[in-house]
Amino acid sequence: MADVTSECNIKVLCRFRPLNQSEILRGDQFIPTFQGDDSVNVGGRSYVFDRVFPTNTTQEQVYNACAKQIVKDVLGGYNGTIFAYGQTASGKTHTMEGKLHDPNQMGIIPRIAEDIFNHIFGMDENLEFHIKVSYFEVYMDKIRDLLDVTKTNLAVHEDKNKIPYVKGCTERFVSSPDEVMDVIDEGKNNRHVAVTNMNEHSSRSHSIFLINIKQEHTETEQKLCGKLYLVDLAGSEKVSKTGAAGAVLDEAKNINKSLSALGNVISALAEGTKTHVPYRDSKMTRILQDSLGGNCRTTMFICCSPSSYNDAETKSTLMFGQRAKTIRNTASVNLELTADQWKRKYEKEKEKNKTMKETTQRLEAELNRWRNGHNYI
Amino acid sequence: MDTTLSIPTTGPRLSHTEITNMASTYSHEWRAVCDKFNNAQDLSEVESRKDPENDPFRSKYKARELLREIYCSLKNFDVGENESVNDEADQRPTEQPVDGGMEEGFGRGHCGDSPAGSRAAKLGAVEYYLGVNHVETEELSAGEEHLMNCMTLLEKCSISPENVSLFIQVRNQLGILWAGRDEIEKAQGFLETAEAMYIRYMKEDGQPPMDLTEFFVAEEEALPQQERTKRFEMAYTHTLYYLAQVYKNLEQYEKAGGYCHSTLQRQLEFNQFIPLEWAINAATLSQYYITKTLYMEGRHCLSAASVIAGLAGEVPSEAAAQESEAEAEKRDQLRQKRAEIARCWIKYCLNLLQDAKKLLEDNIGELDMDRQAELRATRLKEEEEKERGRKSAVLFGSSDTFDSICGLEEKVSCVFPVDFEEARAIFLVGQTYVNQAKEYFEMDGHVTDHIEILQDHSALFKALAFFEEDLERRCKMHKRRVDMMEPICKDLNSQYYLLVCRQLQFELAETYYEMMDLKLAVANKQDDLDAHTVKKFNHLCSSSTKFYQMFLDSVRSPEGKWPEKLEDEVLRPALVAKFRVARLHSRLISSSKTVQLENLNRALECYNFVVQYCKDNPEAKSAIETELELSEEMVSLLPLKINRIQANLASSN
Repeated sequence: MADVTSECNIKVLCRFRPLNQSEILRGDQFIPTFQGDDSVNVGGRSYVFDRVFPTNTTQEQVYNACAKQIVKDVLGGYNGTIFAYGQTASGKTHTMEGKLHDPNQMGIIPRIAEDIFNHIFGMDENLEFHIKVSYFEVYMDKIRDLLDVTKTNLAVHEDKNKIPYVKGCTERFVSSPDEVMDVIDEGKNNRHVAVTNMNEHSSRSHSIFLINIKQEHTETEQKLCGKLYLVDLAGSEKVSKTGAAGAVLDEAKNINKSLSALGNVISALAEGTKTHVPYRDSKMTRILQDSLGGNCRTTMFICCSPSSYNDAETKSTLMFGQRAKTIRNTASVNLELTADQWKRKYEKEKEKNKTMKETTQRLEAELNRWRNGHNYI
Repeated sequence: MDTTLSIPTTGPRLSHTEITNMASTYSHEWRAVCDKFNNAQDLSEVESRKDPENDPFRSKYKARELLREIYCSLKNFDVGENESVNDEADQRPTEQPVDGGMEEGFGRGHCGDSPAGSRAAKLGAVEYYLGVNHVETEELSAGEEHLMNCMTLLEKCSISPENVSLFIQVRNQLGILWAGRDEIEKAQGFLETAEAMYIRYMKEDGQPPMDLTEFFVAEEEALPQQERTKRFEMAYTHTLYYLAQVYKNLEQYEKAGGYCHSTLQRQLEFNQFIPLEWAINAATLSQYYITKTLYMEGRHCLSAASVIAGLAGEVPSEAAAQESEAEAEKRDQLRQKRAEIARCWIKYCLNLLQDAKKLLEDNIGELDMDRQAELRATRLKEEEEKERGRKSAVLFGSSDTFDSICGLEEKVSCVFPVDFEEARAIFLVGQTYVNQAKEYFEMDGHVTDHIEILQDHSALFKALAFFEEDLERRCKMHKRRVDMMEPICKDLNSQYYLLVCRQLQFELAETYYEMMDLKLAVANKQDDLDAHTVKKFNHLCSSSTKFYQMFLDSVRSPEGKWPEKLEDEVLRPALVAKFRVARLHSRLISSSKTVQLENLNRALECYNFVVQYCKDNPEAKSAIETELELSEEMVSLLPLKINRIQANLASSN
């Protein structure tokens, strides 16, 4: 496995889309200036990422640079996650999905689907593959199955032998890239079913496409399991409203308009190692728990508009990306007794030993005297 | 500057009538305006929810068109009738008003409820709605322009019951807008002005002001006073809520906490809350107070949380849940939220015990009698006055919930316990909540949560043990900790729960170590080490060693190789574990010289490891300074002891 670092901070990649027709007509300025392949300047400030893709980057280039490796990792038994983040109409869906059936314009998900099967065809014949996909969305802390709209409130289940998984969600076995595409099409159509406020819904829900790859060696019976989560996060201008993925994504400095998000503010104040903070969006957090720490390969795409008109939103998206780079799993072992206390305890013991040693020596001396036949009587 | 409100204290005050009168000559047109406004509201609030994904703002755009038409009609209405006002409205100042001074808007220009003032307010209201509309359709710059137009129009008016709501709400919107652009101070300016305006209005006038929507309704549709109050207070609740966020973003956490508290208080007061949501928020706020060691406030929040959560109704039975999906969801929600509140209570009890322990312990972590006496004295002195003073400021509850909240508060203390009896009372409350929380957060389904609760339970025992003077009993408390953690530690798949496993291993190792210490202390008192005690002591030593070793093994690569360089998160724990394994080996009791020799050699090996690691990785030194110092000492001393035993062994052979 190439290039697997032991550390697990998140790879953050930034992509700018070109100005669109109406922006050009309106006479909007093109604001970013690209410096090297890892930094971009907006409004006099420089933002550095693992990679920055200027507007002329092709879908294939993006895929090869960032997502290809993850396919290999997942086939090697690791879990991977690819996020897309950005304001509405900044190119998130273009990056993740693109034009699903167009070889040049298709995005990461269809390319991954093809790549997985290409890899499989080139692998040991004794390996048996089972590939399952699921598609669901998280909205207001409820998980809705996009492949079976009757399942509207699925639970996240965790047991002692597995990482958290969505219990009872539909799993489709797939055996070709086309079948993967069919599932995506089906799920996308279902996003519209039985939704009362489509507008709010699509900007506040996160959709998650899960590819589960199990391989078994028919002779050695060795098994390997890998999961790949492809996550389309709610529009960035709305993320703070939903408090997506718990504390991690809730850092934007936006003001939440709705009082229903009062909890997010209070949670932010209450965080700390000593406290218990009930998660608002606990389900999203639990599903992605493994991706934000532990045994993960995580990539986040930050999608931006280049127009001066979206200046403020672009800046805040870029800031978010910078923060995402610093995410690390901070959970670690509790060490309670301080070193100082240890030392003092130890010294106290040493002191005690010293007096005990003296007593022993005295007693030994006395004993020796007895042995040597002294008689005090 | 003259800052008094220029509202007449007598005479007709409802300018609403005037608006209608004013437009009476255009009554037909006026009705059309009102209809348009209603349409726009409906499009914006109701229709827009059904807009298709590929045209998400269709209804908002339609609403925007209507608002623009209203704006034009309004401007045409008064031409001729009130030329001068019209001119003023057209000549927008090149400099836009920016909030900063609190006196803004008071006693300026024309009277708030004069015809000119009314007209400005009405135009301002349309600008306001246009501004909000643009912001909602993600055209922030245009939105800002409209909102600032509204500000400019209002700037010429003094505050009146007709326009005060607009004064506040336009600032709320501008606050949101600027915060979204990361210009928090600017947002703060607008919101703080809104706050000052509310306070001032309530002090100087206070009658229920007109709602924004009332600018464009027929007279007979004016809102009742009660509804006016509700809407106005709600707007101000939002101001406070936005300020809470602004202060949070400015890292002024104490202020932010206060504003969150006020927001919660007002939600209760004006009966605008969802019980479970409110309860979780109050419970979470208690956790903020805990971090500030404000236990009285924390307890108040928790008691209110428990009582208000009770308003959400009974938990549907399992049978009922199986019959209907709605009941199943309700059951899950209620059980989950109540378990969450229980977990907040656990933390309350735990932190109260732990903070008291910190105050009472001496430099080796034992109960210090002098400090105990001291704390008892200061506590008596401060307790009453302080509690009364702080309490009046933060009270939650309506007349019917207040007694239950107080009743719940009385069940647990909010002052630091000074002795075992007091500590035990707090411990028992904590333990009750542990059992409550575990009912929902079961192992199967909620592994991480379940274990966190167990760890808290263990920590409760540990804190209580500090207050226990009887060493045997103290030892038994630690035994309880071992009993709850050991089976789980063995059961858990360490591949997926690596971090949790490590935490459990380390804690078990430390608990056994503690028990070993206590056994030794007991034995020392008794002055004789019988075979049984020695056996027990050795067993505790090896158990502790075993778990440290498990922890250390978890750091190895899958192939069993020890890493050349330890990662930051495990650096200190791993070296401490090595150090303690060394200590444990040197303490094992054996009558056999060969075994003694073996143990000492093993101890030396571990001490050497710590010393050598720090030699190879000098940057590790600072993480483990004290242990390193002791290890170096032992590395120089132990060989002497080993030699002596070896010599002894050789001579006796």
